Amino acid sequence: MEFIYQYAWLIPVLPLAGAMLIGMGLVSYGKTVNKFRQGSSVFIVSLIGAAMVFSFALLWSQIQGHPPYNRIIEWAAAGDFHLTMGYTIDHLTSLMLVIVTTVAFLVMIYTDGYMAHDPGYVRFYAYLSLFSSSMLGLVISPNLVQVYIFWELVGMCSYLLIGFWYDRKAAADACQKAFVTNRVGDFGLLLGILALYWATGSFEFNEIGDRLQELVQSGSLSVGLASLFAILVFLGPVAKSAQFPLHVWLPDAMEGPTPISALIHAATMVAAGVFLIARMFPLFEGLPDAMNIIAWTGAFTAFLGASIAITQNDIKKGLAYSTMSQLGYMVMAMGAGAYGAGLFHLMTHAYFKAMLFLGSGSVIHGMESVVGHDPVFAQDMRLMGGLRKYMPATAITFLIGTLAISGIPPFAGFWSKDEILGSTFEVNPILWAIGWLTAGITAFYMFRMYFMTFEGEFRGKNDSIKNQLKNEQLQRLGLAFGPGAMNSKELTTDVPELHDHEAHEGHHSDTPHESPATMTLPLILLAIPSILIGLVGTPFANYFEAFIHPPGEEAIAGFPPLEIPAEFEWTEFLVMGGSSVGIALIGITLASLMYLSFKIDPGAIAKTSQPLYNLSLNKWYIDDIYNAVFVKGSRRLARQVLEVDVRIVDGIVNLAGLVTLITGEGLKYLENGRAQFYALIVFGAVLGLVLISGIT
Amino acid sequence: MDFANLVAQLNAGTILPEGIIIATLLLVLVGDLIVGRTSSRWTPYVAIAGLLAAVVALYFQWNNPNSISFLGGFNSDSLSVIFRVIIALSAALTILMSVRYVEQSGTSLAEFLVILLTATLGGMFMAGADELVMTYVSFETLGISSYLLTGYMKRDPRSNEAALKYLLIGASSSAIFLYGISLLYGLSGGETRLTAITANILANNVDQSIGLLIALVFVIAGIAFKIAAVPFHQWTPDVYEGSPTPVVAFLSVGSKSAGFALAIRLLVSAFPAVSEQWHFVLAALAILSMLLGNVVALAQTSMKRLLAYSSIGQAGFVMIGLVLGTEAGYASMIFYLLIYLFMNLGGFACIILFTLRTGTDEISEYSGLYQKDPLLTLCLSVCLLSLGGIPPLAGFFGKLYLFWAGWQAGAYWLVLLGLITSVISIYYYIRVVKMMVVKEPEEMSEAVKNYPAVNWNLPGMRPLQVGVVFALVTTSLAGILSNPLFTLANNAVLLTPMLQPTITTIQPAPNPATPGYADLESETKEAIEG
Amino acid sequence: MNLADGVQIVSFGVLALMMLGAALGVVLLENIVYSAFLLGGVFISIAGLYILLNAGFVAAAQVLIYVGAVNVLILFGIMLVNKRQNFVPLRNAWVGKITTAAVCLGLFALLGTMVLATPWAISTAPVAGDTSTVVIGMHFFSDFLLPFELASVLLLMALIGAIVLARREFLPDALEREETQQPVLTLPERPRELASAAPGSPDRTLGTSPTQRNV
Repeated sequence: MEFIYQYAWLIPVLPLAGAMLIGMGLVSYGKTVNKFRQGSSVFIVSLIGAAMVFSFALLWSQIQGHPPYNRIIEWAAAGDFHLTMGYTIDHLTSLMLVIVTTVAFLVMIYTDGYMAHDPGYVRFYAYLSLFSSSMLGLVISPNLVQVYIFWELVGMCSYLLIGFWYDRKAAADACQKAFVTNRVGDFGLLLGILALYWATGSFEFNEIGDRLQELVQSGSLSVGLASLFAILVFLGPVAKSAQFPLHVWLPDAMEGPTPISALIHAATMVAAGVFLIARMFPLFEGLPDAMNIIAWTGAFTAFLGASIAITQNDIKKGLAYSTMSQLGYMVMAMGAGAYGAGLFHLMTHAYFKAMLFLGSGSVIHGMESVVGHDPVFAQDMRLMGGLRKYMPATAITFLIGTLAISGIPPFAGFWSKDEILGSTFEVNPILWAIGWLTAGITAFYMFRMYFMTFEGEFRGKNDSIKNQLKNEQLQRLGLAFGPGAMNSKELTTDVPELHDHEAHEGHHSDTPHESPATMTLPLILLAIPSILIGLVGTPFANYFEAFIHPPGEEAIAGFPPLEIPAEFEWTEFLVMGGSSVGIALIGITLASLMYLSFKIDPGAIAKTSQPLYNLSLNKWYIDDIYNAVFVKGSRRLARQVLEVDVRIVDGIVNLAGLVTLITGEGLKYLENGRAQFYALIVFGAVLGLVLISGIT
Repeated sequence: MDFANLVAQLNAGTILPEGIIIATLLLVLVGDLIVGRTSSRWTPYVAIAGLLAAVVALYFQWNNPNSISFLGGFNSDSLSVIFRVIIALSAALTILMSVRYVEQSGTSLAEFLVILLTATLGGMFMAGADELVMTYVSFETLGISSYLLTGYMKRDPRSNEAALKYLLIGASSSAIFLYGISLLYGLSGGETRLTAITANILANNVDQSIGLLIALVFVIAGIAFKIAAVPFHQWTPDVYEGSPTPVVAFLSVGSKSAGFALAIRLLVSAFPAVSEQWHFVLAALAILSMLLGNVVALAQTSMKRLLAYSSIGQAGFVMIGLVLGTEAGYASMIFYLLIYLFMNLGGFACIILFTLRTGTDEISEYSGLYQKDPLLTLCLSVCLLSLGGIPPLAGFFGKLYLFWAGWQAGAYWLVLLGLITSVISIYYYIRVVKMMVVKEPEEMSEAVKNYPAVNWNLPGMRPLQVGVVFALVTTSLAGILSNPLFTLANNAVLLTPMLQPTITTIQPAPNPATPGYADLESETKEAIEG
Repeated sequence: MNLADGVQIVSFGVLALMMLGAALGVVLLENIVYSAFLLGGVFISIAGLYILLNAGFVAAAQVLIYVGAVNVLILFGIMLVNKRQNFVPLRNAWVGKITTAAVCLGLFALLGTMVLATPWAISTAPVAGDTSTVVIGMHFFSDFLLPFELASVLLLMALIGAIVLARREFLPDALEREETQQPVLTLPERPRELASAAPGSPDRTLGTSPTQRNV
């Protein structure tokens, strides 16, 4: 088996080679390559398939108890500056490899159906492949520098892919936002890396953890400083995994094509933050303050996401907030020290959330044939309803996903969520209470989503709802333009005529249709792990926990016996599991009363608790606050600095009255004396520098 | 002193590369006189061949034990060799991209090449000048050639304007520089060789006088003008906007590198008595350059102006390496300049190509370019992203090494500021990339809509294509395969005797408790000493 | 042939006064032709100072180059530019003047302090006197050989540059035909004739739009 380890570097290199080849082809012979649509997609999918097979082999070998494998080569060295690169294969890596490759493989198959008519089909595959390669590279990185490199690369891919469809105005802002927010986090991460290097002199994960512990114990580094470094590193995951307060980019990122949302913004890239925390666990473990901050950030994000998701009407936005909330769970688990539980949830979530997103993509695809290619209509759940009749495969898989995320046994989400809640309870009951409450809300909004989309009557032909939606959109646009800029009547005429990518615009049908097999097949395939994968981590026979455990802890020799261990406490499990299932059932019941049988009018509830409803609908006003504080603030700052360089310099020139007549262009600057003025500045600067450096 | 003895003392072999360039220059000039206008078919290639031959000659100068020549006037140590290579390469790349540009503007190519080669010559001599008169004459050779190049498109009012302005400010700053070195001459009791100046200053007991301080600041002012450091930067945006773009490319790389070479040599060998002060002044200039260059670049709408401000910011980053005064600092600076050569010239080559095809260099006109010219888009994106320091492109490793060196030397605030400003810089670079890559057809700019069919067969286009592709390949590969460049930069510092005794060994501040780290340090120390 | 001390002091005083007076005149007089002539006066006074310092060669070079070449060139420049324009008095011009004066005085004070405060190491080597040309020549062909030769390259290039800038550009027909065939390939650098073809038209501004440039 040794040889598969020696060639493990092929896993990220295969998709990279595919992306490069297709990319080069696109650049040099764009038209020809664009014609080989099927050819290029099959090529790329088979490469990722090969990587997937490889990953499974590695996982199997690791399960068989192969020791972790490290391969490091000297990358660049100058003086005492060393950069090493390489890869490491251990339990965590092999698990992540399998998750990433399987989801990527299925998403790529799905993409064939979803993007079938898009002119950027081949380019899209190249991007997808590039992303997969960077993500796989991130997973196998043995040190922080390499992690940072791939961290930036996945960020770049995400940024480019969010903006893939520029016919949606919002996409421009969305990728801007994603970029800026991620930059804040990456900056923190980079600072953290540098600080850790300063303190420990190493970029390797294990060494950093060990040395930092030693330093803290010997007292040469204060705990506060060490925690500060840890929190700086944590800023990276905060941005990438969309944790409060840097979560704002994720919902907007849904403007990208749905396969991207499924692959990058639900299953893999956003989980990279959790992965990094897991990798750096030896570091965080010994710093209780940092762990607390991580746990509380996660818990708050989980609750925040869930509370916003209740009122979302856009199906993808709803799922996005749900992703954010689930990521909050994982981060909370990490912060509570439940290493295995967090990663377990990462795995189950990757499968069921990818499936939910792909399902939503399928729904949108079906809706587009009725309402046209306007995301305002195609993604709004108020226009859906009753789709189960038209799209049975999608509906059933979506239901499975909904049950899984709501934590209904025996679906995957139950086991992982229950494990998180159980281990959180041991650490801090308040955290558990937040998580427990959030579980109820999750069940409520997910079933609300399911009922609104797939049950009841089809509302896609209802013009009054359409008008209402259009007006809402115009109001939003109007707000963006500033009050009084245009009245909404005028706007109706110049609403950007959204062009169609696909040829079958024009022959609108009256009913939505089921998506092609390339789209439903991945859904069905993803449904299998969504149902079953949880069984590897049941509390009474926890294979997962035995396989994935923090590096510091003693590995449990072999695997737990199939029999239920004697010390297993059934009562505790039943109490914990029962309570979370209970609140989930309450949520589901509430959702069915409101959206299936319409016993309770949601509008009335919204009216009675108007402030709360608005708080949720407006995403806790966080976007608005950021807009007011940071966006406007930074714009003002940039303008002021520019003014210092241009306006004030010019201003002094004007003030100094050196502007004479502007007669000819050729001598413009000379005549208004700017050259003299520049010379004056040069002399003044010389004088100033002498004085300043003489004094100091 | 008989003639043979004198010739032996001159050790004239060290300026063989420069000799090759002078021969090339004369060949181009005379050839053009004899053949006439048709000479433009071969002159650029002759010039490039001459420059490459000079690079080959420089290769044989590497680690030359007998490096001092012309009785102390010129020093061909490894530091000067590497800088001369950078300058010669930047000129060669500039010629590749200027053939079509000059042809299309209807001016004559041979004279352009001659002036450019003279500027290169000035820069190369400046990198090795070890004596005040030599320093000043080469400084002026580079300067005056640059003014002429700037004004070469004499029918374009903007070019005239730029040249005039450059000349005026350049004359002021070179006067200041001259005043500074004349003070040095006076303070050292009539000594012009840099190596002897310090000893004389110490012997004359004027090492703490205000005169030396003034000399220092005046000299720095002259150098800062060449490398366009704030507050001596005002000429940059106007000159960059008005000059012919290939000239701007040369100014931003070749001229700047020559300035840095001069800075290292002059400051390290002539001003050790006031080293605290020169580090302070340079740190101030670096901070101002990084801040102002990168922040003002955010608001630019013209591509050339954007690159002008970005080059101010980049100069600020490079100055971090200079300020540190450590071996790693100098090495990281050289490494960054090597990489900067490819990425910045690549960026300029793309802009020239775009200008040639559309006649504009407004940033907004780039939107949707991907649809029409993927190669250009790819190359410009890679170069800009590399300038911004996005991994795994070359620029990332350059910045990493610079910041690492800074961190090691304890310049935390400088590194922190560098990090913040490089984050800002990524924003404006990405803005351009986004503009080109992700716009859909209906958002294309007018210029891109009228984009002519890509035709590499027009005269002069082929070299431009070679330049673009070469820059693309080196910029993307120099990051991944950066080890040879790292070694090169490091050796250039290690093999330069001048930099050895003066290197202030600022110990990094790790905790001695870490066992592995101390080992690492002692090992590297041994490696250096051994 | 040293002059007597008294004569030296007197002539130094006269030369210094001449130089200062002429220099002030260059800066303060309104008429640029006067300024140019006074500049010649400054140069000659400096040459006189060189003679006082026993530097005959430098003094001769000063007169030849600065007075004979540079100053005459300046005068030619002024007379060839026959653009008559009156200075328009500007509001707030005093701010600029005061800033300039402050910077200049600051520099002057700084340099003055420096000159007085520095213990200059005065060379004890015997003065070359009349043999100075020989000494300079020796230097030119020994330790200053390289800068001397480089200066010749510099001068050659300056000559070429001057010709390039001064000569009338010859545009072959072939090139123009090519330009008319492919209008999109025109550069922003346009012939001045074109730019001034329509005086006062808006396209004389710098920011001509690409479409206008492509006309």
